[in-house]
Amino acid sequence: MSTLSLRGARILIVEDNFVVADALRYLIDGYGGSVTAIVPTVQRAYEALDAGHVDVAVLDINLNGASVVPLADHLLERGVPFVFLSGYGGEELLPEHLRSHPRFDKPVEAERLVRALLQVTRRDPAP
Amino acid sequence: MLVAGGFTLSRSDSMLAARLDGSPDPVEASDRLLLDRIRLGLQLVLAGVAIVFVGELVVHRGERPLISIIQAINFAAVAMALHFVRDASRRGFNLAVGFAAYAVTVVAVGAVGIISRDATSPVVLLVGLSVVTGTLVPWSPGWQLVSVVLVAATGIWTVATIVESPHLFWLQNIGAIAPTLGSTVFISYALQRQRAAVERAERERRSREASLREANRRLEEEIQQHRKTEDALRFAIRELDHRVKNTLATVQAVADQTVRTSATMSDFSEAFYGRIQAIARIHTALAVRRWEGLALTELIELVVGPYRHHAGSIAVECDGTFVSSELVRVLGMALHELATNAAKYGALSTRDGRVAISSRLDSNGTDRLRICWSEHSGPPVRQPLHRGFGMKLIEEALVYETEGDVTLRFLPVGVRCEIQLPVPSSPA
Repeated sequence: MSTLSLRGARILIVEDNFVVADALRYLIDGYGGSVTAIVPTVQRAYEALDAGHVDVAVLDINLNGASVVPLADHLLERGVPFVFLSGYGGEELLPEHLRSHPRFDKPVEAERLVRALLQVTRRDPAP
Repeated sequence: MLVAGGFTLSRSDSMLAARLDGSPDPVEASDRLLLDRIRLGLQLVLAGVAIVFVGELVVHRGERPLISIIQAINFAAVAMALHFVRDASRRGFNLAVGFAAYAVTVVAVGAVGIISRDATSPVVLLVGLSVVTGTLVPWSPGWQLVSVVLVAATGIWTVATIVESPHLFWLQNIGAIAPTLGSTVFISYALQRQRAAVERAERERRSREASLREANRRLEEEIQQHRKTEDALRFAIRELDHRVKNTLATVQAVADQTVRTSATMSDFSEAFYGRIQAIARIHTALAVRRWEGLALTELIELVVGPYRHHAGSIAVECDGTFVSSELVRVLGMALHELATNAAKYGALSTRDGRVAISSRLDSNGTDRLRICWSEHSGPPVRQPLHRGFGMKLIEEALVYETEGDVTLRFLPVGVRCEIQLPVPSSPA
């Protein structure tokens, strides 16, 4: 394991598949991050954002057929950074202004995801 | 390639349509021409008759009333004809009325000539009439010329003869009328044939264009069909890619979690392979059903069936509820965990143990699927010491993904699990 650390980062996971979301939670726990919630829908994500502070979000692009784009726009407005997770290879599901955000194909490589989370939250990779 | 083809086709189609709809109809145009010519001829004749009528009154000051009456009748007949010849589509009627007015004029002119014992004026008038008729009928200029020359020659011949022998007046008149009438009849016949040929050509052109348009339409349809198929295929490939990646993510996550909750390597391999097998069986069944979903009984048989000791071990009492492919995945995993738990510690670990699985669909407002898993006659049940990944899948996954409700109880008589899921109003 590397020396990467997410210590102190509060992270929201938006992913419709429970098993994948739960595994991500363990992954982030393993790097010292704190998962504020795992949620399967955009609606639940709004509720989680209202309930407590979030430093960064991991967004599955397609939530059981629903697009995550409205939530991404909302996060942009609130100034909460995020990265995308996708079962789709292409970026055709994302509008132009969201394509520059980090995007990972499933299944995700733990270290790459963690590095991206650190980068978007402008954290030092090694504390 | 297809796009370019479609563009060219639709362009040529619109040009075709413009030609068909925008251009004047040749048949209608020829009817219109005939009407115009008949009316022009009648107007000229009417003017001539009017001049003769007024001239008679001025020169003879009402001394010859019979002649004036004949001329008045002639004038009235031609005026009436003009009044009725208006509708271009009534071709036969127009021709008949035109000829009738013409015949009345010929007879009137002849009668006036007889009464006044004057052969020259009628002959001049008749020659004028002939010229009018010969030049106005829509015929080739050559034939018009022949007609006019013929009529003029007859007129000259008539005048020349009449000067020598006035008693031959009627013969001269007939001589003047006959070629005119003959040429007119011939012209009319030729016109009829010409018109029929034009109509035939037009019909053929229309039917050719109609069949062309039909072929074009069919081609267009085929292209659309191809395009749809292509789109569907592209969509299917993307969907497949999506599913494969999601499945790999699930497998990775299951592996992670199973490792985390397994005490030994053999624990891990047993639990992991069981889970992967269940996922694979569900995948296969869904693929066969083209990802539309599965009947609940089918799903139960797929994931719980392999743990059956004998026919009586597992009793399934479910209606034909159909479960969507998304729900099948998560519900299948939960049922798999219930079954492996039962096979390891519960009712399916002995020959005498029984599992009863029942379901029913409650439809008040939104449909809710209630599934009850109930074990009995197995070994005595103890509360598990720690919550493994299996229990998590049973209790949390369904609730997380479907906003359903799951109650798992370790009753002394056997494990009991009640599942309530909101399902979209059922396509039975």
